[in-house]
Amino acid sequence: MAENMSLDRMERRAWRLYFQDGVMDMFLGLIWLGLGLVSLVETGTDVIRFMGYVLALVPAYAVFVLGKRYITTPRLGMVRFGARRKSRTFRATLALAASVVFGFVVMFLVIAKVIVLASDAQIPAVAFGANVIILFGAMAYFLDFNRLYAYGPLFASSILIVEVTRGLLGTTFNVLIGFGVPGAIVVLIGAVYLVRFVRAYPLPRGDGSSGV
Amino acid sequence: MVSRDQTVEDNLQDLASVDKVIHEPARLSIVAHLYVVESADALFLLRQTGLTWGNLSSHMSKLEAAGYIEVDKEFVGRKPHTMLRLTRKGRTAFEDYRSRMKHLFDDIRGGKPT
Repeated sequence: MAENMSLDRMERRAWRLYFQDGVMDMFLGLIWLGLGLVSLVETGTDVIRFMGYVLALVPAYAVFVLGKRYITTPRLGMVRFGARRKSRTFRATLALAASVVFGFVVMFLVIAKVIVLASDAQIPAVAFGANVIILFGAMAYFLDFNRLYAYGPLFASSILIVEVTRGLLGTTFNVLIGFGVPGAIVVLIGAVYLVRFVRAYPLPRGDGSSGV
Repeated sequence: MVSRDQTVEDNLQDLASVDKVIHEPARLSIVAHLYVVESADALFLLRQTGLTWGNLSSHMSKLEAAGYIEVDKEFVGRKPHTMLRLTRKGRTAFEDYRSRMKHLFDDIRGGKPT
């Protein structure tokens, strides 16, 4: 049993090392930051705003894909984890998909007026916050990525900030602050991890490019 | 009733029959790391084991010669990449090694100092 635990620890240490590059943090932070910045696009139709949201995701995906390809993999190497990790990653993906579907369904029901909100009701804010906390909690658990436990409440606070600062900042800057500030904080955390990672794991010298 | 001398003799025989290919610490570390994943490249093993390229290459050659690891050549994008995995024989050998060592140390722990 102790031996199994030791092998488990070895596997877990290797798995977690791939989250020490800060790239995932920057990816998530940039998504949130992008959502905040899109609020600045006040003109145009809903289609233009929607395109703005899609474009806002591009830097996040670019940082993730390029970061993993050109920073992480050349420093840590490539590994395919076993069936248990694959299963847990699949469950994390399912949690993400369920959360997105839940969000769209709630949004659709509100737009279709199936759910009628009282003028002062904060149901969407509470639903959004709960959804984010549950999602990040589930992803932290399945991905074995503990920082997500902290990011959940931080990101969930976005709508709270939006609501609280609406009167003070107006309907554009409250969204910018509400999403932008938590996003920027997480990007900054990711950047600190990235710098530490690059220092701790310099590019290897010698014959490491193609394996043996 | 098995005598203490008999147990010690059995232990020594167990020790003599331990797989020498796996028993070497660097190779044991390589095999253990490959045991907990599906496959990995040499850089991953270099980072995890702390070996030098030269040592790693030498030990991997021995493990490959023993039929414990196999090399998969594949392309990542347009670049050739080498992934390593434990063979079934390698997995079995590692499990057998763990079992033998555990048995051996359990027996030693059970004995009393003279």
